[in-house]
Amino acid sequence: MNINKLIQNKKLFLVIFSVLTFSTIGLSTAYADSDDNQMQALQNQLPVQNTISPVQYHIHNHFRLHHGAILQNPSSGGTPLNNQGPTQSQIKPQTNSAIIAQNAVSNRNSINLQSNTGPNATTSSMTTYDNSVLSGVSTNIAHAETESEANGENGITANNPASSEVAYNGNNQNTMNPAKLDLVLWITIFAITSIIVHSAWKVYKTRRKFAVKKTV
Amino acid sequence: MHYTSSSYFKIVMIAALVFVPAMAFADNGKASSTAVNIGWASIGCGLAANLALTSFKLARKMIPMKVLVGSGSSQNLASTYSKILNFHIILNSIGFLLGLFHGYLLLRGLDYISLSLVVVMTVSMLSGIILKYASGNNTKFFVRLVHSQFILGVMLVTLVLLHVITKWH
Repeated sequence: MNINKLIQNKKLFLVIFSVLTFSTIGLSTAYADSDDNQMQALQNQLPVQNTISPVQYHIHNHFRLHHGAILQNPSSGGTPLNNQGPTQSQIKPQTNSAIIAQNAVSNRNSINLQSNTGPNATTSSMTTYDNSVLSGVSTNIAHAETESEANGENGITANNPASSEVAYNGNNQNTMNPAKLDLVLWITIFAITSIIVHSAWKVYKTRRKFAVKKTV
Repeated sequence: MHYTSSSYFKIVMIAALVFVPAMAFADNGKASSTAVNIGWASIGCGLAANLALTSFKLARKMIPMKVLVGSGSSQNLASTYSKILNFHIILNSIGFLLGLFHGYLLLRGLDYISLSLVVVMTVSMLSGIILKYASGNNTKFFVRLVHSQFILGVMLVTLVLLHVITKWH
């Protein structure tokens, strides 16, 4: 019996095909479970730094660059210093209406800072003025990030330590907008439905043509 | 050498055992893991299977029969076509199974492109199986139309390319 005759044997082909399909599904599901456990174990080994959000990272980066300071836990205390913030001209390009709105909310809050630029490390806390700048900058960064993601640019997250977590999880391999990817599936379903409807219509037309010819 | 159906079945079962170590080492965190390689094997099977049939069909239209099959008899042509068709069926079945296997092993990375690819592959495979074994004229005609749609092939190629490009990064 050669391979051509084996293919002609409908029952045998279908049996082999079904067995292979179901065994593949079963075995793969079993291995997918064990794989999940491996990934979970590896995720637990990730450094704590990777768990910060992009906005937190940018706030941290802003103070490192502009204030030469490291964010500290507010509960640890500190002496308020009013002269540590940037001048009005420095923060002007970054201010917007969001600052005014968030300023009202965060008037009574203060964030403690630890300066590492001078010869003696000093601990200070943020004033209302600095806090308003921080809230404005964070709002701008949050909006900028949303826009860049919408445009398919990933410049911010490329330099972000948190992006390694996203890449590791494998859930964000595509730089395209998820809404656009959703469209791909809908186009596929629409195209396949059109093919089926078109083919069915052609069969119907042919049958009708033959029926008319038979009657005539 | 004469093979019986049971010997073919044994060969298939032995070949299936080859995938056991592949499953054990699948998705082990390396960039070139076995699960990814299975996907490439699936693409290779699909390319070989479909290019063979398409090029033969194109050649049948363009090149004279005497050049293509030698003697020019219709029987010779039919047997050549039958061999290529069987090659197309077997390799596409293997490619589909490998693709299925690859998809289940890397189920975590499922996205809309992969899902669309699964839909197109399943439609092509099901229509192919029905086309092979359907007995009714209308069913056969309908399934032949579905299976041989140009847009289905274009979609398959586009989705495979998109899938490779998006997963490459």
